[in-house]
Amino acid sequence: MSRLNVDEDRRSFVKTSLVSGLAVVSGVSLVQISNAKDPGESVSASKRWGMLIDTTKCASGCDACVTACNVEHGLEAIENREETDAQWIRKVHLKNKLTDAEHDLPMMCQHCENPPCVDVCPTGASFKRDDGIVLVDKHTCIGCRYCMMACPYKARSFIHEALTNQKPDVPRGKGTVESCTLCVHRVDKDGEKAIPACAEACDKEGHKAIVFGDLKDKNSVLSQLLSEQSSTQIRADLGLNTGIRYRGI
Amino acid sequence: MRFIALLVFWVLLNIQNVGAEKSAPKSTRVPQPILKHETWKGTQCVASEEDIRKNHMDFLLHQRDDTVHEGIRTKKYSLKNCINCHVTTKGKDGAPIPITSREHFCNTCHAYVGVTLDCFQCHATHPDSGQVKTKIIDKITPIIEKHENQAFHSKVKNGGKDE
Repeated sequence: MSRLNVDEDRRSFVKTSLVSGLAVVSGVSLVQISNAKDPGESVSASKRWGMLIDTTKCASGCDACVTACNVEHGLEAIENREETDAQWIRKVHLKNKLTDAEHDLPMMCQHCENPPCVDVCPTGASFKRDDGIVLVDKHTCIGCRYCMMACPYKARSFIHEALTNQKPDVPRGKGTVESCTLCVHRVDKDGEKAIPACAEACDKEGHKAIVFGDLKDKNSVLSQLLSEQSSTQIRADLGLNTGIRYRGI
Repeated sequence: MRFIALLVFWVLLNIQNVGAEKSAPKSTRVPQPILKHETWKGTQCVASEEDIRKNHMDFLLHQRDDTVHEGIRTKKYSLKNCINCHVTTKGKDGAPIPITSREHFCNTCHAYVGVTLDCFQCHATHPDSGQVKTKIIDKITPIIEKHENQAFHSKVKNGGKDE
């Protein structure tokens, strides 16, 4: 084929640019697909996990979210002694005295951006992870319960007695304080596809009142819902910038 | 004479129980650890036996900070993964072996050396079977003063006046 006047330089240039262009495109698309966090990777502040709870969809008398949370985390209940039971999520019934409007909503740790529990913790056990989830490091917690006093939402519970048969994903022990973790064991495994136990149960019941997602990702379902209609924080006057937003109250 | 005395002395000095390691009776004062290698998963641990025996507490203590604060959940030094591999058998009645038993993988050595184990005050002692529920093991009876609260609430309802 030496009769053909082939420009070898031009041919190699075209080949190289095609191949490198293909590599770049496939690399970019691969990065977008794998969004679940690699286990060896630290969480980063590029994500902030939150939830939107639509109180108009929350059914009165339904406590599927509470039951699901208790089952997922192995929270034990004692008969006739509800005052000391661990409570990570609870149903709250609100009634406006002026208008008689009534709402039901689930209340759990609001995963504030400026958490009062973190401010007051004397040991640093109560902390906010880079991705916005507020947790208690039980290794450091001394059980002083200052965070329980500081929380405006009464989100935290204290464990009074020694436990056995904890769930392997949810270590819980006597003398420490605990609260909703936004199902951090699921979040770390599944990333954006994760769904907390309460949201999963609400979906299963058909109400679909709880939506979980990444507040910093403009393309997530959660962000889109938040941008379409207004939502409120409970006790917004405290300036905590909660990660859990409510609609309809 | 002197030579014979020295020879006898030397012989006495060198008398040893050659089969000592294998035939010496094991101490009955402290129960030996029960290590059932055949029940553990896989063929080898994440580190060599000497390394892990000496350093497992440091590996675990470092890993726990990474996991709790950074969300790093690598399996190598994860406590949950140790349990998944090493605690595989159930007790006689099908229930998981409790941490207080000398047959539990962690407690068998910890009881022998007399080192307190406080990991399992919070952490699960066996892989999740889904069947057994979390249970309170030292139930207390708190005194809950109900009548005080009721008196306060009725006072508030009456506009600050006692009823």
